[in-house]
Amino acid sequence: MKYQLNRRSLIKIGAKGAVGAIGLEQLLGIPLIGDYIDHWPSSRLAHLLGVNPYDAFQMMDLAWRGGLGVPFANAQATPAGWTLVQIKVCNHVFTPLVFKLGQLNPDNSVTIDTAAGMKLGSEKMGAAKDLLIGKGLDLISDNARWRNLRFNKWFADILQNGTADGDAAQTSANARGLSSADIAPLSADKVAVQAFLGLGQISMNNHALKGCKLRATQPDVTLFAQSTGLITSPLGITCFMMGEAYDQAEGSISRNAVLGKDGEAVVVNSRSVQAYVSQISQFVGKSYADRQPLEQNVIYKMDQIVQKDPKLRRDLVDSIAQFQAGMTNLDAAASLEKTRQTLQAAQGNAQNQNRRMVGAASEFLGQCKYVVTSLDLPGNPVRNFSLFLNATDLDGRTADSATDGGGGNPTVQALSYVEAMRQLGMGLNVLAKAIANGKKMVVVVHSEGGRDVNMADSKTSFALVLGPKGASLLDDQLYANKAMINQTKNDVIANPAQPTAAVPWDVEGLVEANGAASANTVVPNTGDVQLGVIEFLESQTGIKARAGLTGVDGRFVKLKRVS
Amino acid sequence: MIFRVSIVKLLVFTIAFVGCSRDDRAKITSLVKKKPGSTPAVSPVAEERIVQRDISSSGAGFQVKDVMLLRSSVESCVGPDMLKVTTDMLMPDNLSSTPKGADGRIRFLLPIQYASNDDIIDKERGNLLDLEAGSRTSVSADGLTDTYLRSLETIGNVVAHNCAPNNPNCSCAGKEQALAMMTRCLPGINPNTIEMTESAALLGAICAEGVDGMRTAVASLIASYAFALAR
Repeated sequence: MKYQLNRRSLIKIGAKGAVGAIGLEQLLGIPLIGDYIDHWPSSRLAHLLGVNPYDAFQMMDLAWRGGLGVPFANAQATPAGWTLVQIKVCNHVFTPLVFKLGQLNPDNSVTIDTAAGMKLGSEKMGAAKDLLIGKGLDLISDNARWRNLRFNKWFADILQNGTADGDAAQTSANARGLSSADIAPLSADKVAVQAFLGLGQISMNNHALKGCKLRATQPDVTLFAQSTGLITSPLGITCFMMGEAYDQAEGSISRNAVLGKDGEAVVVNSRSVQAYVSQISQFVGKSYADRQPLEQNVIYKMDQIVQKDPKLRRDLVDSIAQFQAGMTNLDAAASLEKTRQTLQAAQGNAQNQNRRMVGAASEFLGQCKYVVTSLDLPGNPVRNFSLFLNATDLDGRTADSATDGGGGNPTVQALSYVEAMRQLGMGLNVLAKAIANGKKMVVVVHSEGGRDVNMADSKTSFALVLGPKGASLLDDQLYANKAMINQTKNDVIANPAQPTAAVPWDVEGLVEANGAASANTVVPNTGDVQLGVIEFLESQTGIKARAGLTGVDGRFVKLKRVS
Repeated sequence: MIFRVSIVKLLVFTIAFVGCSRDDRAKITSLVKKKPGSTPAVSPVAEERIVQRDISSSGAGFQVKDVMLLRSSVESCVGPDMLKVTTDMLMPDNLSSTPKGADGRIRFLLPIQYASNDDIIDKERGNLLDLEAGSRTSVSADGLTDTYLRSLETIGNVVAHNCAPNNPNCSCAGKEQALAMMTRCLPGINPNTIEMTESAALLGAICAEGVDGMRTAVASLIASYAFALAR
């Protein structure tokens, strides 16, 4: 007997338990709840039950209350399907903290015309400037792979090695609470990394959560993928927040949320890693009844009195054991939220807390660790994730600053830009290791805008995509106007975040809904990249999800595959 | 009569556990593992190595206990008043941890779902076979499901939590007492099978590990297929 775990069956069973528990089924005279489940969350039944099937937190609670417990998360004998991870970096991104633009010379040095006003990336780094220069912020990576993507050496080393200082060896000082098992040198043959430069905004709002949507009139990419079946996360979407709030300016949502089609309609609210871990721990629960491994399990032994092969018990005991093993790592992920460093000005490792700067906690790393750990839980109950990297709204201050520039909101616990990009590189390494280990996962990193050379809010940003590398899968690629980023001076070199730095690419990639190459005058935006991820998932699953997207809304980046 | 039962027990233990004098789970299980599912070394009783009911969860041919039978089975097994939910079974509101209560007992029930003085079988009715309510809100008679087993575990936990150390109905330390409990709680099963004696040995070993062990044994017995199915 094979158990198939999917969102629909889980909801059905969960609803049966919940409905049965309150007698709602009889009350409503609904004989076939499953028929209604397909129409969730719009059906009256969903509202009556008060459960949002897209919200992993609520679904976990329903599953527990419905008597599902561990066994229903067990035994997904079929392939687990794809996992999607969206990382929203708000408020805006500063391109020089990740990339090194300028004329690339034969000796792999990069030249910009400082005499003509072109600025080095390190100029606005405050007290962290010397460290960042020493670690290669103003240099292009000496790793050929990352050099092809135009990563600077500082970020590239962190991404490659998963350590806070980019060193190949993990130490207690550079681990930020991660263990050696969490990271690995980023695989060159199993993980593809794609970079996208010069991206415009999907709308012209500055640090507004709605700027992270697929399109202004479309939902978040996670919701789009879930609702179209590209991602079949049984318990819906896991949505994280870092701290309590972020310093939204031109939007009304001051926290991460999965947004629906309509403006800023919140479909899934965000929670901390700890909150999700607590919820999952209820799957495992506590019990007097024996939960030892099968060979020592007395219940299993007694089951065999009446049945030679008590498969249900075997699955139950095995899945509990796996959940318990996973809980150790999930607890570790939650503890990362509280793993706070000592503030070191020269490191730029600050986080805002009640209007003062303290050493940063590893909250974003906790999110990344949660993702990879939960993918090892039996049945993969969660496969769709919205992560949030809270970088402070600098409004002209240096990138080592973490205090909130939007008025001193004490609930904003944002990182300095330096620490944010540091944790981004480390977190991507953690996720990349899972991909290298065979997880079918795509990660898309983007922002709602760029931060200019004076650290003011601006428009043009970058994005990153990570995914499995291999035949019919992804390949490394840099999407940019390669001619413009390879000069000593121009608008892009001068200020990669300004509106005029969002320029058409001179490499293949941006295509119209019908697959035809876009005109060479079309400027790509962050939504085009996300829709490229959707198109990639379509190619892997055979599901056509973009049928309703036409014209500009249907434009996407055809992510490079291994040929 | 008593003499006859004692003789049978003695015979069973002699055959199955010669040389096995320790109440240690690992040793017991390793002993069990020595017998690889085939005919055991010793015989007269070993020849009775039958699974009394060859029950498959995918077929009809058997029925799980309905709520009424389950209630009477629990009472026959451990006595009356053992199904009541008490406050110290409820997890704290903060679900991030589930510490043991002041008396050292674990907490295992969600406060949003259960309350003090609940009857646990009544509360679990929707996940069990409830012939009075019909099958629409409960499991079917011929299907032993994850839900049923999970619910049975919850019931077993409540009973175990209510087991005081001096309650003779909860006494199961050692092979003899464990087999006595199993014989009382699973009256429809022949106690003279290898499966019963092996289980009793392991159950008795666990039960001998203090009060927590006793509660583990009681909860495990009630949570088993055997308890769900045997009349």
